[in-house]
Amino acid sequence: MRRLLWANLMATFRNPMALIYGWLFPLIFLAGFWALYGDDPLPLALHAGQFFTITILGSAAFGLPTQMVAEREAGLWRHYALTPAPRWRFVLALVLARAVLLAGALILQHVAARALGMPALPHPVSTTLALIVASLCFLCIGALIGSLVGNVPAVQALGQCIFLPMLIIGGVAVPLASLPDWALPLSNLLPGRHAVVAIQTAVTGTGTRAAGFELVMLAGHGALALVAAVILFRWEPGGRVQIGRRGWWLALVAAAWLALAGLAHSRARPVPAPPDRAEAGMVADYVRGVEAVARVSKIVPEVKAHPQPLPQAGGEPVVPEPQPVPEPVAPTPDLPAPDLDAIAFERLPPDSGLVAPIAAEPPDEALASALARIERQVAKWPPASEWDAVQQVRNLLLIAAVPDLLQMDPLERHLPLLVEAQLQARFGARLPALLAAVALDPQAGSVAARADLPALGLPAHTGAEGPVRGRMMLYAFKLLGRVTGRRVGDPPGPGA
Amino acid sequence: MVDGVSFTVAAGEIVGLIGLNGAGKTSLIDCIAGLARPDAGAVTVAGQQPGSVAARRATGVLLQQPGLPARLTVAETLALFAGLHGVGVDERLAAALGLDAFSDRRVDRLSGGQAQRLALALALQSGAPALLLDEPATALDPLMRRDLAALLGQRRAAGAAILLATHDLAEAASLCDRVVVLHHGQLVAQGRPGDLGASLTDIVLAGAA
Repeated sequence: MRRLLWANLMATFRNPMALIYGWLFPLIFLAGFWALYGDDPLPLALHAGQFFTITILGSAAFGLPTQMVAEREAGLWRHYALTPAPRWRFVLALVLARAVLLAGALILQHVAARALGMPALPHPVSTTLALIVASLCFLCIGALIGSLVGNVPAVQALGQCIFLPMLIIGGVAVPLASLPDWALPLSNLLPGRHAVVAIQTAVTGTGTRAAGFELVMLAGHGALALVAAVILFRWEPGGRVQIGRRGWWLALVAAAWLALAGLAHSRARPVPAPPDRAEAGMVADYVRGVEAVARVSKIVPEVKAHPQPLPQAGGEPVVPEPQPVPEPVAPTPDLPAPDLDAIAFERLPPDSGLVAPIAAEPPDEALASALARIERQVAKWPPASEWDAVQQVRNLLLIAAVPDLLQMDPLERHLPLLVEAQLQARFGARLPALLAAVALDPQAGSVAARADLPALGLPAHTGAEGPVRGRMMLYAFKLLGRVTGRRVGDPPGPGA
Repeated sequence: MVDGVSFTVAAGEIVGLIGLNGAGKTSLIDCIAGLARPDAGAVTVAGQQPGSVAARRATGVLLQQPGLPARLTVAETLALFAGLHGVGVDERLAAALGLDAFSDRRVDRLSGGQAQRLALALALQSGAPALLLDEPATALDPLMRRDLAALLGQRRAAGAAILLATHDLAEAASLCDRVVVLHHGQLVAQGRPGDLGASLTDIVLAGAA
């Protein structure tokens, strides 16, 4: 087996076209995504599901069957079939060699994406799992194409018939959020969508647990394709595949695929929102009159940096993991208590909207588990033990602001509540003054802690600070409204 | 299509399978090698069903279009197929076929004659007791044809059963202990070349007449 694998690796890596299509093209695609989406709040990460899936599709669903058919047409498989070695080994070695080429392409693409500003993967294990499942699925589909068609041009033709719909209406090249309504049900039938969602959830979401359904769908598509590939497999070159009695088995596979597609359709999740480029606005947008900024506060004494014990889920306070809390190197300045009447809470974006959302409903079980995990990590997160109280509030607000920018629905809507609970537990009655200090001067202090978010299982934020400071300001205003009772949830609509 | 053909190849014997183009030689070789299944009748190789692991282990096959791994070198190809047959590379055989002169050359850069020599080496190096050789002398120069005849003679002496499909009637007459003449898939004659009562050319042409 090792000798066969080695021979296939040599055959693959000595083929300039395999390297061009396998390794160079993914980098070209990546450059294309960079040109289109380089000004995203988080460069490239919001499209990782798309460009990784394109790479997998190209190598597994195009490259593998092309090599299969070319070798079969050249009579090599026929020659192999004359040897006493178990015949499945030839196919396995070919697929493994292709998997090595594909793994190299994905690693190269990831390294290049990092060089172009994509932050480190917050869930490397989940991302790897999603990439492996998606790769296996498309390798099986590639094997099916290779078994079905009789010559290399036919691979290209059939490959395009599968590749193009996935690119255009399957959420792979055109984002799902940009698709017309009629295309969305169709996208559920295609494994490309499931690959994009599974990978994207691992890269900018809460990990593959939240994409369990997509992984199951990919495994289902892959398994059915593999069964069909085995049924149609042949050593002989040329001609049409003779189906004969195998037609019944193929009909069963087709019926199972329809059932899978129906399941995907019935369990379809809402389409994720496009990357959020909405402006957060300025401080003056949320206070009544320019002069109000000046009179927004009164002096309140003694706002201390030291956090209070954190609450447990059951309500009992718990001391966080021992973290050395450095002594202040300078006295914490007194902060102005806000004149709440001067703040126009009603002008803030609605909690149910795209910008700075806050959940009105409790999280489901999977989400609650993810939130609990984040909460545990916050207790050990160094920026959450920042000695400067205002800076500590900024750091904690970043936990809500960055996922909001990244459209990490549904997590983004629940994280503000987690942050609110953390802030209240730490600062109690002093919280309004601290929130007002952040809200009214969003350009002050540091947002460097956005790079430390992967420690919480969240993506880091790179690029310009402006967008993240804007979201931090909005959440500071919103939480200020909530903790002071001035704004709890969205105001009633016109008909209410 | 081959119909009503029956013959055996004994150990230590070279049988020539001769006939015009389309006579059914290659179809018959495919059936014996296990690459095609006969609609009726029986074929056994060393007592085994063609295509079974035991039959594949007992048979060395040279196909008319041998299908070589284009991007491997000659040495790598020999090693690969030796491994698949569970034997080591036969360096003496490789040298006898002149492969050592271009062992580092990639298969897709070989001339037709060089590729044929490599394919012959792959068929012979397994040491199988049964050999199926479809047009083994194709593209070989006269010197190499002479060497091939010597190699096959050695294998015969070692007890191999060799079935050799060929167009070359002179080669068949000089190399083969017996010949089987096919025409349009039918067996038209078989026996020792000297016992058939006419030249092989006359027999083949008579079958076509």
